Amino acid sequence: MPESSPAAWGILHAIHCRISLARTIGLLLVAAPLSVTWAAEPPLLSEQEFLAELPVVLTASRLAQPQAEAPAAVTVIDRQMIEASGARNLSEVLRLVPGFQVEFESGHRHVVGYHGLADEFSRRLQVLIDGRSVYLPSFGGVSWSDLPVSLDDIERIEVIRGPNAVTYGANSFLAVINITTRHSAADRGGFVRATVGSNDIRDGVLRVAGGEGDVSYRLTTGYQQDNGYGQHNDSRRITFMNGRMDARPGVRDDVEFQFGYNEGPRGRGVEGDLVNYPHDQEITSRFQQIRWRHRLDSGDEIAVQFYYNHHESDEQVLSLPIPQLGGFQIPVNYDVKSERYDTEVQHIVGFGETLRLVWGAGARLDLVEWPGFLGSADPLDNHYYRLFANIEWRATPRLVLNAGAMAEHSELTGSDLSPRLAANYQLMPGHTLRAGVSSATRQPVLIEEKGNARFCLEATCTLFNQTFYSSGNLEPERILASELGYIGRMAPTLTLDLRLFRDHVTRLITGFDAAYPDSLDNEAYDFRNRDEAMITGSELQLHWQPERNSRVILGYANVRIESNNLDENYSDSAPRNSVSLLGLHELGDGLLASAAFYYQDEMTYLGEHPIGVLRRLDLRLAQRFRLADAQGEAAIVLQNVLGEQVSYNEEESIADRIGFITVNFSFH
Amino acid sequence: MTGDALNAVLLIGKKIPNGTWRVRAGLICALHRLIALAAFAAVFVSWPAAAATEVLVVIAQKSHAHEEALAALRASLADVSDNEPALRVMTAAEFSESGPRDTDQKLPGLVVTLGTDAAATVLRQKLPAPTYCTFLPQAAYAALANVSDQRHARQSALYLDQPLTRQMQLIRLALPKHTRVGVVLGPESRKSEHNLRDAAVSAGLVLRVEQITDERQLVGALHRVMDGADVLLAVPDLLVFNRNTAQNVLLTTYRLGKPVVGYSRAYVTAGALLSVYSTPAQIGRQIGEALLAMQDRPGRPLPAPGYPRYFSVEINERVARSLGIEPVQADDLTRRLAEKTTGTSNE
Repeated sequence: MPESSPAAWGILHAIHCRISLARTIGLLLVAAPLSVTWAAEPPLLSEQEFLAELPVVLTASRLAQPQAEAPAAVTVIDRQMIEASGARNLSEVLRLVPGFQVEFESGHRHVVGYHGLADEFSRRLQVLIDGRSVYLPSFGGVSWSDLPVSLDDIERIEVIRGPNAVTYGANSFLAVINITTRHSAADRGGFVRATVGSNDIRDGVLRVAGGEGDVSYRLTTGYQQDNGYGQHNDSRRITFMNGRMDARPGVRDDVEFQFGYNEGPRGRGVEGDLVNYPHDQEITSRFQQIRWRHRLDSGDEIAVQFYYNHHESDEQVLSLPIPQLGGFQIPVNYDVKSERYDTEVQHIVGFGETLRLVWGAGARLDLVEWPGFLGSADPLDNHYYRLFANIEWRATPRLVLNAGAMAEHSELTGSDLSPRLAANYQLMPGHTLRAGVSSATRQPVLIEEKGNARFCLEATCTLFNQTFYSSGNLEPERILASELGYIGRMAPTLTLDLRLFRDHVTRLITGFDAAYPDSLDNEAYDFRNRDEAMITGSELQLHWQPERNSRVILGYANVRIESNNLDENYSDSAPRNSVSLLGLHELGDGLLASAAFYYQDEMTYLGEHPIGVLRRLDLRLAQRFRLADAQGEAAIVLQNVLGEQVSYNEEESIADRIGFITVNFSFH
Repeated sequence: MTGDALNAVLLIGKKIPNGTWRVRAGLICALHRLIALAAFAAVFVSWPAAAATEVLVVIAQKSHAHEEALAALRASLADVSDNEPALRVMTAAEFSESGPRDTDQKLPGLVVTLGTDAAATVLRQKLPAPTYCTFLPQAAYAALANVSDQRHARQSALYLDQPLTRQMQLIRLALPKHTRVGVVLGPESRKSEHNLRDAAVSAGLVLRVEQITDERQLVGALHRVMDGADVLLAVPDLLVFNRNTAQNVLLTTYRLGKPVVGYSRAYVTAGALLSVYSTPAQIGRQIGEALLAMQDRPGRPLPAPGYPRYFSVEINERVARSLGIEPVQADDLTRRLAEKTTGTSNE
């Protein structure tokens, strides 16, 4: 365990003791006068309890759209699926979503792709945790290993397949991954988990949850390590801590506060390379978030949110002496720091029973300090504003129409508008058709707009190599997605979700080697809006629950990408066919068995070598038990049982079998 | 009630403006009609000269609901018998002031109370007349019967709440996939945990229980119990489920994507998925029928304490839709529920 862990333990313990003490004193103070009055005249339950009117709590404006009436296709991954999948990493769970590919560029750089167009920084997906975007403004995408969240604290994951800028803002492009953590009141007492396995897997999680009255809290701290692929220096040592507090200052108000912290070394570099030799990258990632929700008399609701994200990677490398340069050691500064301040106000208004409006506004400040790659030691900033509105109209009992738009303004790219229109028609109870057209933008990230990386090749710096030089003036990428969907309950135990889609992506920002005369090889990497792609295909999702203790979840996607392919091999960036199949069964007496199988056709991640057909099988067997007052579970997980295969890039990523044992206890 | 086969079911469904369906179901017991007719004949043939019993009705307060129950009680008496018992009505407050005697200083032959306060006021007086406590929660009567030293033959009750088996059967019928039922019990409702388990088991359901001692523990308890439950059954309690906590209960469970089965029509309007409950008119009608049945029996024993025979089911379709729950036909549901359970089942 790293040095900080005993300290974290101590803090947790101190907080818990203090709260326990406060609770005890509070109870003593409250209980004393009460017990006297109660003994005198026990109050009786009155018939008024059954007769009195109540205010309408779940008003039309507060009721969420059911899946069959949502203007987009949604895949929900619940806790049971997360556990049954055998996943040890958050990203891996997404393999269960039709059309998704999840691979590791290295042990700590996870690549999540949907409908292709993904490289090691998958920039065309939005990811939110409890409404907080974790998309990095520096190089884009999400650094999955650096999120200060434990799989144990996740309640559910909703994946919107398709753009949804109206609800989730910029970069909600090919899909949106919306992660919800458990309410802090959902757990009480302690939770510990230990995981040990092959490939140097050593994980531990400790959680303390409690509360008093209208305030509840949760503190989770943990450690995670493994050796990545095992063939390279791509190990990771992650120490994280996060906390959540929910309070209810009044019957109309909910306040939620969260913070999180993730740090530790990640292995980088290749044996034998003089510059990029094996070394560590030190990651520090943290956030604070506060959300306030207020209910109005009318049943309407106002929500205000603010969060701050901070992501820092310390990685300064001095190359080994390079003989060709007379033994000069090239200094390379990979240090990068991204900060994001974001605030949003949202108002939900109901107009009678059939019309609902959700509208709001947000503002954001991104700060990126990346001296080695942005050509400046000062942080670059970008201000960004958005305005959004969606009207949901139940035109007839069977027809629901959604119309909305997001207007955005970025200092880098100017103003854009992303409208959406969708209609859901219920053919008969349990069978709904959906047709929709939706658009979204992807804002260029700073390396694309302002990349400028230069390395001195000798002490006087007259000889240098320019690796990045962005010509700038990029416009946001744009997607226009049309879809036709069907959601049906074929039987009480069987639901089916079908979708035909056509995503037209234009102004694709593509990186390429452009002429740069002063550079060593007369080239530097530049980015331009120069490509487009047409993505068409179909998706199927089937959920079968023959009995309470068995579930089968099947996903299938057929994806075809046609592209002008000027510089990137967009056309091959998604497998033509992909399948995911999860089966789980409770065998009784607390014994649970599950298996997940994944298949995908050959494909090529952008800028990488082609990978062949992938077949992956993960197995899990878990036994629940009681030990004194604690509820325990022991599980054995075998991943990739079918054996070695190239998973991301032919040379560097050969996935092998992994096995681990995990034991957890919850106690009050 | 005996002879299920003789039960006829009366259904009146009507759409009420707030968009929810309200279905009233009455079980008209054909057997009861026969008994009532027989009683009517018997009164005429063998007891023609007998003066009608004076029944003192004590209502907790003058409210719309109490008046509605009273009107239904009168209507059900007038419906069947010419020799209807004479009703004298007063509020609990009036009773406390002037006592049970009428202007001739005569004691009533029977006292019927409507509501908890009325029962509490009357039972405290320990009258010689038999007392039928109606329109009150079972828990309230249990508490009152404990303090009162009178015997059941002189004192009985018709509860306002529904038998637990009926509520469990309702969940079974309306939500066939929701087999794990969560309940949060307070210091008072805790007493019914054993009965809840029995009712759940008999309906093929699994019960998950969280107990709390302070209202401020409610939200946490809801989160924990719903972690292993598919539907929340609201069990009325002074601490846990009441008008003040409805908002917390409904919002918390809704955010977890799980339905609430309430115990009143108001709970459904507020956001519960469905409720089974008895209207004041349904209770009034059953009181009337009990009075008529007693008229004919020597010694006039009170019926055993029991739950309402007539009940209604209400469903909030908007909430069902939002939770992605297969729409249930309320009238069909009520009919099937009536077939499964009988009102006089004692627990």
